Amino acid sequence: MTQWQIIVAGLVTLGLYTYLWKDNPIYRTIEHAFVGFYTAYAVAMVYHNQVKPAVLNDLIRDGEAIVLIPLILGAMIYLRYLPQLSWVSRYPMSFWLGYGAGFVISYQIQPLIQQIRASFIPINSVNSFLIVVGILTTLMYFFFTWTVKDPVTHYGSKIGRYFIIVALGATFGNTVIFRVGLLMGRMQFLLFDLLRIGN
Amino acid sequence: MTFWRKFLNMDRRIMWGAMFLIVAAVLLRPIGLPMQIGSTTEKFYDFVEDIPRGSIVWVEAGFGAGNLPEVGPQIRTFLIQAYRRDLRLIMSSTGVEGSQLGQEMFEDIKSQFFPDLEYGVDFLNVGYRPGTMIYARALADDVMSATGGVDIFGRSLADFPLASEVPRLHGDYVAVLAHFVGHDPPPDEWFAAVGQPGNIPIISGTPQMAVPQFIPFLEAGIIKANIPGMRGAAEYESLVGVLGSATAGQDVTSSMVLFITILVIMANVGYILTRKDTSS
Amino acid sequence: MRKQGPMIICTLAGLILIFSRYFQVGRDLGMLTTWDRWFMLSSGMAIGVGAINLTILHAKNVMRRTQYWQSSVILLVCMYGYMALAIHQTTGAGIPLWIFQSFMVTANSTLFSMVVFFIFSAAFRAFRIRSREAALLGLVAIITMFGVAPIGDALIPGWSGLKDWLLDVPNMAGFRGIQIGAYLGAFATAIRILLGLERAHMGGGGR
Repeated sequence: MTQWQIIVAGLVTLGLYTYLWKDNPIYRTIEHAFVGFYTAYAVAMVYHNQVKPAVLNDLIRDGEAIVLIPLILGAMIYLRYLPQLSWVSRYPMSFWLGYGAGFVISYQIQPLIQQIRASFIPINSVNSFLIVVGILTTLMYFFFTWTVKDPVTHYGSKIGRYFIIVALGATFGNTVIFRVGLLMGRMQFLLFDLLRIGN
Repeated sequence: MTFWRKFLNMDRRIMWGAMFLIVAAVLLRPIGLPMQIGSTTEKFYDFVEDIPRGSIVWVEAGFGAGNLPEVGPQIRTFLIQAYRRDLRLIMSSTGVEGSQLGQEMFEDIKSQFFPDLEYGVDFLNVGYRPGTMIYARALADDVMSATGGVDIFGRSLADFPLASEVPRLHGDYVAVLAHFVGHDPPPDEWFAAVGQPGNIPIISGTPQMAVPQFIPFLEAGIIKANIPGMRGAAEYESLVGVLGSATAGQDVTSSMVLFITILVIMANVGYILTRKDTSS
Repeated sequence: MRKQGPMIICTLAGLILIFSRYFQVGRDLGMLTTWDRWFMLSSGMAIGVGAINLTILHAKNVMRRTQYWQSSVILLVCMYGYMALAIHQTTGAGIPLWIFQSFMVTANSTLFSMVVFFIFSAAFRAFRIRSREAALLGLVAIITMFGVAPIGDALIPGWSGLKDWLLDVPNMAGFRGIQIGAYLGAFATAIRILLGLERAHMGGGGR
């Protein structure tokens, strides 16, 4: 980053942190500008990486008229803003959903099988026993399809809840560390790059 | 009891101010606590060391600025280790920011450590594409079609020798898929679309937050090795021998963990004492 | 045409992928490559919907002079100004890159980092040992944090071993159960979509 970029980045960082004291116009300005920039950035990325090569290279240069189909399909989503024609936008939406659903059924089965296969382990230690019990009881906790009345599933789901709590507790602990890491990243920038103290 | 009541009801900005001060103090005066290298990170390092020299590795850099302090050092160190082993890298991104950030990292590494690296020969960035799992699936069939035949700068992929060596994302052409994504899409989607059909082993770097949910993937063999969060990044930096921001951050993590634990314990003591006081 | 057409497209799109995967239908013709390309190109184009929605929302704010309407003006100016520049030039050079590096990356990192303050104050106020479950959650979180940070091993040698056990055994079992459940849920939803039972995307709820 150039010196000016560092100054701007410093002002952005400090400006956003002012929110911690109180909501204020400086924070709101930077936040709204960020949302605007970010949306525009995503639009421009898609334009340069997808739409432009499709139109300039495939359609105009190579004469592949078939590219018009996805281009028209993509454009159809914008008809949702015209009340009379909003139903047309269901076509691209249905295509995306159907294709995504097809992917889930035809491809996502593999990681599921892999996970199930890895769960069939010989119970020859306390740990392997805990793993098998943990997986089964956690699955029991997610039995929403019918009312659980038999004692195995009833008590199993109660045990499963404790395994889920451990998983969530571990996730919380790791999330705290993750967020601390992000704060540290900004503080490193403020101290070492902007203020040039230490390092 | 007045102290505990005041403590429990203290303005949160006092706590936040203390947090700023602690982080700044520890960054300026590092403690340098010793750090053991975990087996998970060591396995990742060894895995990369075992990739045959000259192989092509596909790097999925779908991370964003939001997890840059964690995934950034991981990917930076990975680039250094990979280029020391003469590996060649093709980078894709399913995250909007990842492609640009990854490109900057490559340029940074090139200027600092490997000035002879050449874009298009040792490194290629195919840029950001939407569609996540479908994009991954498309890459498995035809890289040119999936990417629209252009790189991050809009230049034709046909002009780069590296692109011609990988007609599709398959184990015949690519040795490993290195997955450096914030946490979404998870590596199981890449495994489903590319890893399993194309017989490509997947290794990953993940932010600390996603570490617990990555463990079943690791244990089931969906991913072969993983760098767990900033701690993992620090261990990896140490293994590769290039200490950076992740190593510097370990003291901050320690001090903040101590801080929050003391706060939570004190809050519970205060809660119990004031509750007794109230009930009596 | 308005309802049946999209439903047929939805089912067909899914079936093509399924038949291609399991029965190799059309693989030699490169049919999936074409469909993938269609999916990516058309879905990528939908990114503009976000921009239009933002425009409608904030233009209303400006026209109605709602509270903080000035921020809406800033958003619209930044969005369309940047869009014009980045589309005319590129996102990887010049002023768009300058703004990306100095403003966007910084703002994104900072906004993410601010969550730590709220996590700390939430933990301070909410982490009370009111029940067995709450105590277990808090205990696991603290063990994990101390295990991840070097301070754990510095205070009690071997502490990270306890964290590793927690992550590799009960956490692994819990998350695997959750993930298997999620996969099954995803399959059920996918089948409902292909059968036309899930119709939220058609502007209405399920059956």
